[in-house]
Amino acid sequence: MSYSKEKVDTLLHNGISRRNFLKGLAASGVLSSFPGGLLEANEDLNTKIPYLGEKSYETFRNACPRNCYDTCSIKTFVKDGVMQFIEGAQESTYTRGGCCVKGNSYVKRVYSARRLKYPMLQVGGKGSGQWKRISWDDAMEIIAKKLLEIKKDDGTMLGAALTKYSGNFGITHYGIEGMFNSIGYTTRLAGTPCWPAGIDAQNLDMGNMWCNDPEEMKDSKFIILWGVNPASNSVHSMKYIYEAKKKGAKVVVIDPVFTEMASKSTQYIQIKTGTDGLLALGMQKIIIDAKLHDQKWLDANSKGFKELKEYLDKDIKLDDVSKVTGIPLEMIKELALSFAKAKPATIWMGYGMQRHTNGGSMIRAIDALVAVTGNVGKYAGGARYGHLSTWGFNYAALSMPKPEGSVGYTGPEGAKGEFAQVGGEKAAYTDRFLNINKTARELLNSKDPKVRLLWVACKNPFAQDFDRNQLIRAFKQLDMVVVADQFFNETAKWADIVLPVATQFEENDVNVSYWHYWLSLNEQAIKPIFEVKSDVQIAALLSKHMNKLEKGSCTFPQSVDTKEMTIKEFNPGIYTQFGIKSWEELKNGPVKAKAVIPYADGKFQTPSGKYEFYSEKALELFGSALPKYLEVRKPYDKFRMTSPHSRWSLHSQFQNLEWMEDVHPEPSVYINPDDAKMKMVNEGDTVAVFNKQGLLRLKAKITDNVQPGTVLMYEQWYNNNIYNVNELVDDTSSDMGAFKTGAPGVALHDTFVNFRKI
Amino acid sequence: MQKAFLVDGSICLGCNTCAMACKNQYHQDTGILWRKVREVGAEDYLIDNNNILPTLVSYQKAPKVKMPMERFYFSLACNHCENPACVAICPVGAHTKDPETGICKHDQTICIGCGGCVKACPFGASKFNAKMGQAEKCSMCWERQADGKTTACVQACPVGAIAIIDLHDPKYKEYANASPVGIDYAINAETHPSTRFILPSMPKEIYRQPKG
Amino acid sequence: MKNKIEENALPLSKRLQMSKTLRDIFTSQDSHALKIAFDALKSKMAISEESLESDFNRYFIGPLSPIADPFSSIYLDNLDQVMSKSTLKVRALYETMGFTFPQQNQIPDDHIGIELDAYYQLLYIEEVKNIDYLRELRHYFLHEHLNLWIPLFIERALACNEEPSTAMVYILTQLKSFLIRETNTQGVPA
Repeated sequence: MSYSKEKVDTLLHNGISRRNFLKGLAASGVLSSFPGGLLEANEDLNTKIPYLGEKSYETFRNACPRNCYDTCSIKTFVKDGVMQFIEGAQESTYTRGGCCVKGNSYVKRVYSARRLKYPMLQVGGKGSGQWKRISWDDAMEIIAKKLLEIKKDDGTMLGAALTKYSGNFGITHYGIEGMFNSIGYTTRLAGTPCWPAGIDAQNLDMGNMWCNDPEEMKDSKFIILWGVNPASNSVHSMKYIYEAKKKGAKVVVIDPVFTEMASKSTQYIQIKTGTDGLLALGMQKIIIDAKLHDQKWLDANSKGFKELKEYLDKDIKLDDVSKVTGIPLEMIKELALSFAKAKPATIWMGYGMQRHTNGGSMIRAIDALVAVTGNVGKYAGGARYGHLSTWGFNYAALSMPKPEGSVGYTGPEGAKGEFAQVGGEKAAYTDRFLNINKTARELLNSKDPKVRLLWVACKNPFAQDFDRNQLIRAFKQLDMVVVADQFFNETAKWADIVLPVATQFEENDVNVSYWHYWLSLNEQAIKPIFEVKSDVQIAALLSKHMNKLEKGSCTFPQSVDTKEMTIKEFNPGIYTQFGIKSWEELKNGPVKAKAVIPYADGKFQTPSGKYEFYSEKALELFGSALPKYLEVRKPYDKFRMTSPHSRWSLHSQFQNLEWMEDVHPEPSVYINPDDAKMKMVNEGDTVAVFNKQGLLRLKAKITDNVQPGTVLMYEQWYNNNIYNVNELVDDTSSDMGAFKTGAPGVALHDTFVNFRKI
Repeated sequence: MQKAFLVDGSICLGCNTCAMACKNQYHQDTGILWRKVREVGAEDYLIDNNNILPTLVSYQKAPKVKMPMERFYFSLACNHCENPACVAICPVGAHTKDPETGICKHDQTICIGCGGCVKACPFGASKFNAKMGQAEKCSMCWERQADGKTTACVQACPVGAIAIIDLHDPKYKEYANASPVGIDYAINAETHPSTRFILPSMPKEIYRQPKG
Repeated sequence: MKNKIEENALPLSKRLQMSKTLRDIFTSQDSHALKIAFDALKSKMAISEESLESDFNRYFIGPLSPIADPFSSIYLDNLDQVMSKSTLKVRALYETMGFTFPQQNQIPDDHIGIELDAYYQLLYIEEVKNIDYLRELRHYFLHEHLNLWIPLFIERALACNEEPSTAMVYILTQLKSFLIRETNTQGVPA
């Protein structure tokens, strides 16, 4: 043996011998003799011993930027520049020291060997799989040239389109839209596949979407969780619901599915899908007939109660309500009366419920139920859906001026998305807005000018958008597709250029939630690994190359520091709302906004300034002033398919990680025992689920958690698995969404399928 | 002192945050979970896939109540037994029972990978890491506890469905003398597992759509 | 057998040259640099820069899951993960050898190119500068680290049945021979 393993091991692990060895190293002349390479001689030998003694970590403040109610405040533990583990921040009473199952997989995500590492160009064409590694400069030059070519050919930048959604809700990530603002008037895939119908509904009723603090639920006396499943998708809210339950509150779950939440409720009521609005209207009728409505509150704060009552009296028949919803009348009565008697009472409405062709009308009907009982504007009450009241940042990264002389779209203007709406004077031109929920169709049909370049960021359209076959055609006919992402997915497969993007641990940012009221700083905890860059750094580099090729063609700063970008987002309004003097205070932990009860002052931002049961705006936009019952989409195949969010993933994020595969390895389709029997399907059989859109093969699980006539599959993106539930979904719109988010939502849960054993 | 996990099946969401928090802290290799969230009434309750052999003392009975699929859970790791089989069988003293806390610790720097503990443990708590040729298991985050923190799983659970209790503390008397109930699980195991359970139950009122 | 001994007695400059060439292949960042390093292997194979790189990326770089990830952690820790236990062990070794790595925490320390760089530099100070101080550490690095994972890496890469690349097979074979020669020349009993 020319070496002794024991000796070297001792050298590596024993402080004293290691120190002595290093001293000798300097004396031996080694350091001046290395020929040099990627590794360099360490001229400044550190003879401290980092391998001994107790764990010592550097800690950083982070936040989970995913599209989630909970938006956890994170504390990250780093040793020797390597992220070791994370914890939830103890300072936040909401996160309370722990992230969820997904958050706890972040170390794995950051250091996954599957991450995109370098900018790459698909030299063999889209889908060819022939990739060439290119430098960031080369990548940006190619893109800049294409953009300038589009401008030269068309006279506008409208041929460049951006599709960006909820992959990262960090405030500086609006710099991606900023990047597109900074090159001229462009085309945007606008709207949201998530919650638009409900946003419109709440805005029509109350002039805003503004929910009470979820932490108040601990003091609610009656909670209806209506089509929402926090036991799976907002686990940090559960402690408040449990506390209320422990104190004697009734927790009722109304849902077509016996969900995780239902299993933890005091009462579960299974409803026929898409009839929730009618149930809410029936309950109101019962409450008003029993004179349990809050007349005093209604007189002072509402508009159109009389019209509502007339509608209920005339058009809502309780027997029909029972028949259509499938719920016994006695049960509805009991529910309505006990809800009306409990004060404060609250209803939390899920986003799944509005992903129907009548989704917005259902949210309006339930809002009305809360209002009729006088629970709007009350502590621990409220019609809860979401809020954006803590999102008043500067959007400095977003607000970029157009280059001088930019020419844009002159058609009708659309809105710009639910989170950050740019104010300012009306310009002669606007961007062009295409419906994000009909991406494939819109890209294929775009003309005057045609979309030629598509930039995809914070989004995985092939996993989340609809009509996959059309989407492939749409991508293929584009001159250039740029995909900025953290992992290689099917969208990247159809890209020309992929750009590796930083995780939140590799950049600075600031985060708030659309549900709770905490504000978290996100500090850079580790060096960006490989060649990854944050989205705003990518924008800056693009600007550098645009300006090099044509001075003044891009107004985005040519070099940015993510920390400076983050600091620029703060303003006095945020400081006042959160009771801090400087953003630096957030280094000590997250802070909570000062408590405000939404609408407690009786001020609504509706045209009348009151709660509007009767809304002229609704009449104008959607044809009905009152929250009237609207029948849901008719079946076009044998079974309804519902595709809720899984607790193992956030849309197409997390499920692809090996650690997640350890707790949840594969997709299943959940089938009611009656349906399974009829189709002769047994537990564990592989079945084909199919409709006019596509076909999926997966394992069956038999359970009466789903009602007869319905199959359930979770919406997820797996690694090494072609499963994608959205292949069965067409792009039929929900009723609302165009008012506040630029485009209607998608009636995801009005998908119908058939299945058979293979 | 006998530190023990108190697992509350009545509020456990089955979210697996505890199992992942354990991975987040210790970076267990692919396929190995020291803590596993087990579905009440499910098949895999009876076997442990991570074991080399089927456990010698099998789980005697599945829970009596038939529970709906994927709704009720017990989060289980090492049971930190009063008479641990792993400590008894380990030829090199890699498994020890802390005389002060009652925690059953495993020290991988000593483990020779004989696999004795993996076969001896009635609950499949010791996992065999084939790549490393060694055993590994939950040691109740004793280093974290010594540092004044609680275990990774307890800290991460969003609803407090896992707690650390001391079976010898009069405060927890109600649990101390009870056999590990809930899943009738190894009631007669001679190792005297310390884990205690609060039973899950279905909601008081459940209405489902009628057939047809 | 005779032939093998001769090969083992490879002149030192060639041995150094080979370690440098292999390093350059695995640390190359564009097709041109890759082609120059590949040509230094004298394969006599005619292949364009572009196809060479496309194959190289398919095998070792991405953006799709490469056939064989070039990091020791993948093989030693059985993880689909970089920056894990074995990465940090290699880092400790580098530090003890007197190296600093400016791209630390950006490129994992156990990237094959970096490891070959370390090995080349260690050989260099022994052969060219006649300094023996790190010889034992080099042997340790070879036997207790490189030999533990690079054969697995080569095996995984060679197991590729879908469109195997002749150029990549050639590189891997050269790497394999280099490792065998290093192991045998230094007279460590198997």
